[in-house]
Amino acid sequence: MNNDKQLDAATRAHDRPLAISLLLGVSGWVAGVFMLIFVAMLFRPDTASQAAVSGGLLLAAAWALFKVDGDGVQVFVAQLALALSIAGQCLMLFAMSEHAHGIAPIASAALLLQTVLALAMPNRLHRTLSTLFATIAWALTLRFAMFGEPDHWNGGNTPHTASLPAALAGWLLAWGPVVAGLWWAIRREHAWTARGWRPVLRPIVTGLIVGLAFATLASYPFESFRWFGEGEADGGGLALWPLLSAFGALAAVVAAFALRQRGLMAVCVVAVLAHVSHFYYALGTSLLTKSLLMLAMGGAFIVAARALTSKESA
Amino acid sequence: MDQPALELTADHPADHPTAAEWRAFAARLLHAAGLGGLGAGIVFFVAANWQAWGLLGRFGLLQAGLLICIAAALWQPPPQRIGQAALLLATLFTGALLALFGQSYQTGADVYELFFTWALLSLPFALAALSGAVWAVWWGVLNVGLALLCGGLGLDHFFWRVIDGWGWNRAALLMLPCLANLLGAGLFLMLRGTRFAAAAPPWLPRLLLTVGLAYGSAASLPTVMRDQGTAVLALYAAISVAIGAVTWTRRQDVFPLTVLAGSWITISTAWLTHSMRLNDIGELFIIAMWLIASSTIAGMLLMRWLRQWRAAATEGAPS
Repeated sequence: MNNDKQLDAATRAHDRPLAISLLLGVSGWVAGVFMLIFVAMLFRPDTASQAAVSGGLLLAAAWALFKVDGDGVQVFVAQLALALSIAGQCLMLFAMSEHAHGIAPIASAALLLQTVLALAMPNRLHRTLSTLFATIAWALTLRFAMFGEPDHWNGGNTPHTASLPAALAGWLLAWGPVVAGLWWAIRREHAWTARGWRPVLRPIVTGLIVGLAFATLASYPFESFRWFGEGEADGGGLALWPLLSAFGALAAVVAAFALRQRGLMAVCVVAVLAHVSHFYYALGTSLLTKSLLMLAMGGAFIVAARALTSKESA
Repeated sequence: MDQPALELTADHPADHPTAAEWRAFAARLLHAAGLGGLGAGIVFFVAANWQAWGLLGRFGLLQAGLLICIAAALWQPPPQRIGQAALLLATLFTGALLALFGQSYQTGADVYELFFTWALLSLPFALAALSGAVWAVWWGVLNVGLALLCGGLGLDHFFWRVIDGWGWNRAALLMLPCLANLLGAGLFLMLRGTRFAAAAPPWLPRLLLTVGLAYGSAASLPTVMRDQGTAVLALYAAISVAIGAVTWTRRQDVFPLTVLAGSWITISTAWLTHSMRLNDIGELFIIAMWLIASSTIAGMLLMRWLRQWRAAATEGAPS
């Protein structure tokens, strides 16, 4: 009888369509921002220790609420917990990087925090969101650790360039492990399900897929566009990056198909289209070259599709 | 039942695609990526305005491409895949030719006119293709035209003088793409019950509904944020009630209700934020609580209806 109730609760929590999860996730996230401002104005945590205490309390409260909730069965509790957690994460990140100089230490602190939360927070939506943010933090950590930070962020005008092989190596170093991790996780799903890791690993895999589809933007070289600051971006042959992102998003489509998550596949297709649109605007290569590249790739894909179809029918 | 067994039963993790499904998926993905690549290549080529070919050469190239596509569609007519792919590319070639014409002769026409003409000229291709993908591209073209008309024209444009004479503002005008997309969604929903169902995959009415409601929300936000006339808000509320009623009657898909919930949570939160002026920290807490409460209620109701409708469909299905 007890097991039936458990099964019912687990089934109820896992059959939520992507659109409803998105509605809950976005609402909870925005509520978390309001909650953060409320807590910041109420307690005024000006120092790292005050922020750490406030953030730690909010994260602990969120964890306890998720634990009581039983993974999203009671929606109000889960939404409240998500909002508290978002506020807590911002305060904790401030505490972890109050004296940091530059983006790299902040990104690495965020990576550590999001990795811990992805593993510890007993809620599917939270694990997915934390994994997505962790992939962004991972890409930024690597990028700034490898190439430093642009001079113009500090008011200078020195061009900040990375050689093409170095930038390409940085991209592969950031996203190669994500692709390999996804491939391993999906292939070994039976094994980790049998060990009872499914509630932890499946949402993490979903977060990695969304990260691979969208977060590759964080790995673009500095010159492909300006994150902020004035002046023209200088492409220098770096129009390659949106195409790499498009391939990353295509890999994410394949991973989503392997999990039979059609909603997730649609999200990844949107990412592919966004990256191809970005490719149009990317500097450093003429539109004619881009056009010929797209036509050649398109033709090659069509020929491959025909070959696969005729092989199957033969 | 032990925990691993419980998890296995709960979500069917063993249900990975078979080798045959993988092959079929790979062929579909490569085909779609190939068409996307060719389509993007055509658009990029026209935008590149390549002088080496001369005007006649560029027109000739695009016209030859269009003719080859039409010939391929006649040779392998839809619903065969080659015919559908050819008509998708023909739709893109039509836009490319119009863009090249505008680029070469500086007709003075507004950009939205290009997109409306493109939509009009490529409508036969969309009708003939019997494909959701071609319809999605066609609606994309129409929506860019509508977005440029409703959001991109300056107030000194002739069009605005006409609209102003009718007493319309920009919010009222945004209801035009809202209604167009919602009517499209309704049309494709009806097609799903006919022999043209292949041209109306389930994602297409959902996409159009989402775009339509996004326009409706965008039209309603100025009304609640700037205390402008309530006619637009009332119209959008009436449309929302009608969509809710139809969805409730059909009892098949909670997606329209989910998007409606998201839309009205956005509008109500904007109204709360505007009304409270955020002078007090307690108001921030109230808004956070409103977001949590409203999304919670929406989530609970949507999940309840989803399960009820699924159960009813399972019971009603022949065994």
